[in-house]
Amino acid sequence: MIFFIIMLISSASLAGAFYYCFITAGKTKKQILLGVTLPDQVLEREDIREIAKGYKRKINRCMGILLLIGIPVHAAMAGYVSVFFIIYMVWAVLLYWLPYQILKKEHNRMYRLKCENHWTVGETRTIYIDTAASSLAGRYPLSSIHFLISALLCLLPVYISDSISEFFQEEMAGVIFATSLFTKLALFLCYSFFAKGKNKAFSHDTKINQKCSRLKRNIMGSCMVILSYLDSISFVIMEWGMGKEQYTSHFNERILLFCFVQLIEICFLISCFVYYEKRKREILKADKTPILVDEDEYWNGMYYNNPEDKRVFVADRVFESNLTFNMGHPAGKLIVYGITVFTVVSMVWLSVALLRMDFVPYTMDIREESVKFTAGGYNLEVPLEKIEKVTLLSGLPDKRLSKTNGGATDGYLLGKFRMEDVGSCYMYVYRKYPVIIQVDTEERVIFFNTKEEEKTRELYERLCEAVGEE
Amino acid sequence: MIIRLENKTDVPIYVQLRNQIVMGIGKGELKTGEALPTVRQLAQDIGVNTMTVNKTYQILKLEGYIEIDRRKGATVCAVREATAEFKEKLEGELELLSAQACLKGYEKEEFLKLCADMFDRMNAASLSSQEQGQGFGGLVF
Repeated sequence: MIFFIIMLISSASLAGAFYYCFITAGKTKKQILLGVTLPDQVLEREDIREIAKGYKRKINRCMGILLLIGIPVHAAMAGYVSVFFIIYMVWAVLLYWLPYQILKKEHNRMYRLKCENHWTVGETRTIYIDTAASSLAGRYPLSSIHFLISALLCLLPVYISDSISEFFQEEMAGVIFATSLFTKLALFLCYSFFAKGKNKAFSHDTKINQKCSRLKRNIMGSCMVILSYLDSISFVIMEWGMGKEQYTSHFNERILLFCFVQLIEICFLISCFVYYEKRKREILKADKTPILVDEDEYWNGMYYNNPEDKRVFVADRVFESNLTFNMGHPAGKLIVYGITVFTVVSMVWLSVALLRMDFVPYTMDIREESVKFTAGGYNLEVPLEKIEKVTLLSGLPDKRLSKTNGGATDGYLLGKFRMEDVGSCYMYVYRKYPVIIQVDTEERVIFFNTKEEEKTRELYERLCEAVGEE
Repeated sequence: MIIRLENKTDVPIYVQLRNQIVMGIGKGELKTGEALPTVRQLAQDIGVNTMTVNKTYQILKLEGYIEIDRRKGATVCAVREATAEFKEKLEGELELLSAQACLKGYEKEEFLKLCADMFDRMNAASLSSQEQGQGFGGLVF
């Protein structure tokens, strides 16, 4: 149930974020509409307004249909994990890809209209720099040392645990710990980007440029530092007491508290962005001598492609507060294609792995000198001489179980686990079928069953015979 | 000071940058003692390699317009006496400009007036930023 609620909140946030990004692309900001820079005097033209209106209508319709499709997608959570994962991935990709195609089409239409009418805004292929604003770069109200302190905070649960090895034997401990450190790194990179990233000259008035530069560093820099601490708190909540007996008590409350702090982080981040944009708009509104540079030729096709620009990361002009890559830079191309290939390969690999776990039946092949257990991705061969004991159980022992590597769903337990008082064990267990064979070896314990009780009993008897037990 | 660089001309960026900074100092937009952005930051803002900005700063240093200190970075120098080498360079450039103006039909008075107007626009940075009371927000560079 908790997983269902978490997925629902995640999906709602994802759909909300995408909808906000795409719908705001249809509003004029800094003379940019649908990613095209237009002169002030043409913004009220009938054909321009018609394109913008049509775009918003199409986005609303598309997102509405995708949300309706989302209902059966989330209902699939009740079935196989692999099926849900594949359907959900396809849905999530469509949630971005379909509105993006609409945006791209309308952007091209608007750009064609601009070229046909020879509309330009300001100068082209010109760079403006304000030396006074640039000189302010790197000065922050909060030092970058805070990222180190917040990273050290994540080490606290490891420090108070009984032993480091027991801490990392806990289910997901390694993943949670690595994620917390990775988040710190990502926030530090964002902090550096705001500190040392490009300073745009908005105006011929130096004071305006300095104000904007200070605002960006003060608001966004402090935001990243505070987010880093909040993030540490949420991970400490998750990791506190790991490797200790009482860790599993109040686990659900712990997850809810973790989600709550994460939600505060998201709200805080959005508030900072909104405040920053609002203040910047107010400052620029008072500007009497704005600098206007038409960069549309570098943004044709909705992505930035400027071989003369040595920057790899650039601020996205369509989705504000977002970063994008310069496709005119070899590193930018490499990162974009690399991420795409890595994501596709990971998704395909994960889908195949989950499908195998869900649908490949568990088998026990008793041979002359060994017994081989096979299941989706988790095969194990044990020499008969190493088997110490074979027992037929009428259910799994009522002991604390933590997953090391494998799958644990409502339907099955598969892979490497650790069981209280037992230690390392291999599971090939369908949860709904209580008749289970327990195989004790020198190194580990193996639990195995099939979906047919008779077959499980028969395998038990054959294994006893092979091992030489009565 | 606002620097304006064009990507559409054949003039290299480091030359454009050098000319813009010299004109900025000449017009008084950059005061004596005022700090210039770091090489890395300026390169980031323009979108060029740090070597390009470094080249500009080295030329400006050699010409005596700026000084580079490891702690303070690049700062605008006080006005210095023109060297014989500079005089020779100035004469060469004026000779070429005079020839071009003459060939395009400019009268001597017209050409001299243009030169005088241009010269009047300059407000050589003889006063330091502190003396003029127009420092950059009280920042210590």
